[in-house]
Amino acid sequence: MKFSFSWLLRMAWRDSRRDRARLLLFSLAVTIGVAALVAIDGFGREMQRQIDGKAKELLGADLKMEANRGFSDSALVWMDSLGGVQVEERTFSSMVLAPASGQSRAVQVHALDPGYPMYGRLETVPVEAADRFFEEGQALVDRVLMQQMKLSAGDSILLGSRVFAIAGALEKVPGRNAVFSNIYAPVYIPLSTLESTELVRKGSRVEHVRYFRFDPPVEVDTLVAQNTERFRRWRVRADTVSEQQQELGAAFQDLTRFLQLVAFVSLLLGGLGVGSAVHVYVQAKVKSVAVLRCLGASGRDAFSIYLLQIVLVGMVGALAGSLMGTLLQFVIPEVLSAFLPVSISFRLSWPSIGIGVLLGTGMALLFALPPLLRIRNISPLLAIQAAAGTSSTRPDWLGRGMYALILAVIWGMAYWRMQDLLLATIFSAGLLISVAILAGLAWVVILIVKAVFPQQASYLWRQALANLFRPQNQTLLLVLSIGLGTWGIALMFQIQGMLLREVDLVDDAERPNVVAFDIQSDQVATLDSIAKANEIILQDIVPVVTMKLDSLKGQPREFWLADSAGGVSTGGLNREYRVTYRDSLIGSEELTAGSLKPYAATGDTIWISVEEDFAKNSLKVELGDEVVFDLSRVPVKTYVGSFRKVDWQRVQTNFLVVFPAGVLEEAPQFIVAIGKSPDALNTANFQEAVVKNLRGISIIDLGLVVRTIEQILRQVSFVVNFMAWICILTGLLVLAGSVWNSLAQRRREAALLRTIGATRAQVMQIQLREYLLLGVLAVITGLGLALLGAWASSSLVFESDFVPEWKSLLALGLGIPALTLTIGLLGLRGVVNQPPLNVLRRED
Amino acid sequence: MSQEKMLSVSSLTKSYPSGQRNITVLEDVSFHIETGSTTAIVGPSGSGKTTLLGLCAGLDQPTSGSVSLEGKSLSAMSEDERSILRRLRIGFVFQNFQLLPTLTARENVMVPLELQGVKQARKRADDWLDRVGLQGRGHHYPSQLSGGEQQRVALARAFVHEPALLFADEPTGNLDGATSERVEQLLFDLHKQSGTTLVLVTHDLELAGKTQRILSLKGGKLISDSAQA
Repeated sequence: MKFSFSWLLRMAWRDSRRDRARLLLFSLAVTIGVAALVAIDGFGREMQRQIDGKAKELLGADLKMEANRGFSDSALVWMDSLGGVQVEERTFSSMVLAPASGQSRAVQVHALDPGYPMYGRLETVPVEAADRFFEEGQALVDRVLMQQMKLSAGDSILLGSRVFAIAGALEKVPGRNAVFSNIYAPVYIPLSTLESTELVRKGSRVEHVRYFRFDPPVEVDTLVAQNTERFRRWRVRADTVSEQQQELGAAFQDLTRFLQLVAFVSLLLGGLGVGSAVHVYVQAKVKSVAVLRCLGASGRDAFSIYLLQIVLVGMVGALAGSLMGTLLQFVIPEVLSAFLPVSISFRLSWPSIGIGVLLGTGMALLFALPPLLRIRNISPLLAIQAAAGTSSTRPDWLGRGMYALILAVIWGMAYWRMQDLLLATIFSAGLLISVAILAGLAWVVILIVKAVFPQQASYLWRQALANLFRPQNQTLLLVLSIGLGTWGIALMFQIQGMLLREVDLVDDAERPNVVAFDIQSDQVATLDSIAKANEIILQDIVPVVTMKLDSLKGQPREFWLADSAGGVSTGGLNREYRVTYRDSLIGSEELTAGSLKPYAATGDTIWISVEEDFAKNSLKVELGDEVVFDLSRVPVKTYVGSFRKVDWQRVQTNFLVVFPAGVLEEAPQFIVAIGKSPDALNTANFQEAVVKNLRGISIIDLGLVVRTIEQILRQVSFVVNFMAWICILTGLLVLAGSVWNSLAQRRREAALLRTIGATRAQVMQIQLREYLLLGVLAVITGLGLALLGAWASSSLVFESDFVPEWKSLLALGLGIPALTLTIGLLGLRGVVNQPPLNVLRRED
Repeated sequence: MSQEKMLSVSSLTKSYPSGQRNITVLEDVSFHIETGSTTAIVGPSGSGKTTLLGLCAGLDQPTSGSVSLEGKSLSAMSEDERSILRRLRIGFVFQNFQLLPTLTARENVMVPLELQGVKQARKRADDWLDRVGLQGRGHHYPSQLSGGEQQRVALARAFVHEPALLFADEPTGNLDGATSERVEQLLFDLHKQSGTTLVLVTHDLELAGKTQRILSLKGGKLISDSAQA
């Protein structure tokens, strides 16, 4: 006979009466993970919706074509033949000066014809400035730059030889994010005014851009696909709406997938928490199940009652998580605003909520099933005989199969998010290995603490430690989840600190902190004197010649482009080579093969030196191979004479290819200078003097770059910290659940201790010490693994010195145990307040 | 009184593995119990009384031998079939009451009826609570009732679905003398009214003396049967 579902539901409800608060707490273990998942999934969907909905606004045109240093004649003829509306743009870096304040900054100048953007608009304050700057020959200046330079609409700026009135502040340009505008803030001017700035001279690095709008529409992707070869030959890049959409979509999908995987890890931890809580819960229900079975319920019926309870519990937790996640969607766009190319507004995402509820319930159920399945085998004999075991002696294959199912679900989830068999397998295996390492480490830490714990320690400490290892303890799980979160935060602190130390080196007394480039040969002397006047020492004054690759190892560039088997990278073949010439190595270089061979006289062989990794991986050249460069249409035949290893992290002018002196002195070139400024004021004065006196030179204040990188790192670390805190919160909720689960046992112990003479204070101190020890164990585990991870990443990935971030580690080391202590205290209120007799009587 | 066999136990042996050897807790026990009779199984602690009760009620499987209830062998039944048999034909009274702590008195009494899918479960449960003298206490939880009251709820639960056979395991073992007497009286009264076959497990010889037949166990063996005396 099968029971009606309503009876099972009724029994599940009746049975939960005394445990509802406890069950609710179990459910919270999945809440945080679901909240993160829903928030991130909703954000990802909204992002994709915006990217799809405003696709054309991302590019501002149907097609964008770009070329460094101008389009070739044949490219121009072809582009003209395309018809439609075409708009020209020139972009280059330069310096802007605010004459009123004397402040100057490096900017990215966009000289634009009217008509762009063809879709969407330049967002400006005031709104009409977007049109007025064309009509009145004015400039639009990045909003942040205007704030920094204390400029407002109507003020003047100097760009090259021309003074521009500021039409308004530039808020947003289609498809661009705000992250790097701090270093190279955009300034838009009408293209018709470019010549009067006198900034573009022969040899200037100016990028030419042309935007297209086709009416009637044409198949832009097909057009681009059919002409790829041609574009390669012309060294032209083509950007289409769908490419932009795909790139952006893919980038944000990667970001949301990564965040979702972290949220998923937290959900897994929550699932583990539910599983372990249910394990204890089932233990407490053994008698009731046995009685039900005596009354005629089958093992399956009893199992169904508790299964229903856990499904409902999981659903409540998941619903709460979905609600929280929906609210969190307000926060995420704020946090990530600088990285977003489109504005995101809050939107209720039902699919995300659905996924959250499904996953949260599913995960709670999945981890609860192994302990729940044991209910089927509880013998009715237990109602009359305390020592009776299970009703079946056969191995429980279904129970064991659940663990396989858990693994399969983890893999399935990873595959669902990544859509890649190998990556999903690596993620699942990586997750298992990480958890195994962490669990192993936690286990070792626990063992060591047990082993070295002083036997002569006070009774209170010994009892607290013994409590951690009471039957059915969840110590390992708690150490695992809190440790995992601690590990995430600590590792982030370490890596952030390491990166900041790297960039901070520019503030080092020795290191250069000012870079000037686009210097012409006749400007060097003046620049040097301006630098000296501002106490800036120019350490490196390096000529730079730009050239392209013509042929390699006797075969033209086109041959290698067509030959995919040769392995020569497209980047290596198409790039613009910025080379220098000298006969010696600099501090950041080390010769690894061959020798620097000087150029003796006209007609002599030219031996170049190539950066080792680039030679081996991109160009695939060996010593002695022929490389012919195209220098303003003049072929320059060279041979690889040596390989150099370059330390790119050193602030120096580093080059992939170095020519010997005597070859390129007469070629069109510009000069880069690196200097050390004593402080920001000197740098500002230097910039101002250079802008006033030397046209075309751009100066970058590396201190500003450092501050920008710091800002980006802070935003990135906020996101990572946010995810790590999700793991910690889950751990704390699991802890709260575990405290609750053991409450009856604790009350009884407290009553017994008080009956035999312990004071309330002593009983309370035992409990406090127990949670303090738990927090300390978790922190040791998490910090230990984080230090190990930071050491590995500093030596293997970042190749820098390993310096522990003691301050952050100390804060975590004190903070996490304090948190566990607080949670323990909150859970234990009332345990010692009741008269022992009441407790002992009730527990009978 | 009918002489039909309600319960037949034949050469029943139960042993458990303990380390390297087996411990035999019941050895070659055989007897029959007639329908409508009252029987007490007595013996000192560890004599195998509770094990015998568990085997008779189909809560456990014997190592050898057989138990038949109303002519049907329990050994031939699956776990689920035995559950259904308990649901329909057997009632239990336990030494420590074993009321479900999260259910009210009424809900506890309703469970056997609900397991059978009976529609009027609530009314019948209330009727039975009246019969055991607990009218108006149906909404109380076990923790709000005294030991004697709890055992009376247990009696109502045991009789509510009119079982053919009722097993009572030390039904007064946890009660004081006066309460014990009242519960014993109620148990035998209800037996008389319903005609249920009653099997008592007890070490209280006074209680055993109130039954029609006493089976004595010692060291897992049936050492005497008053019916054969």
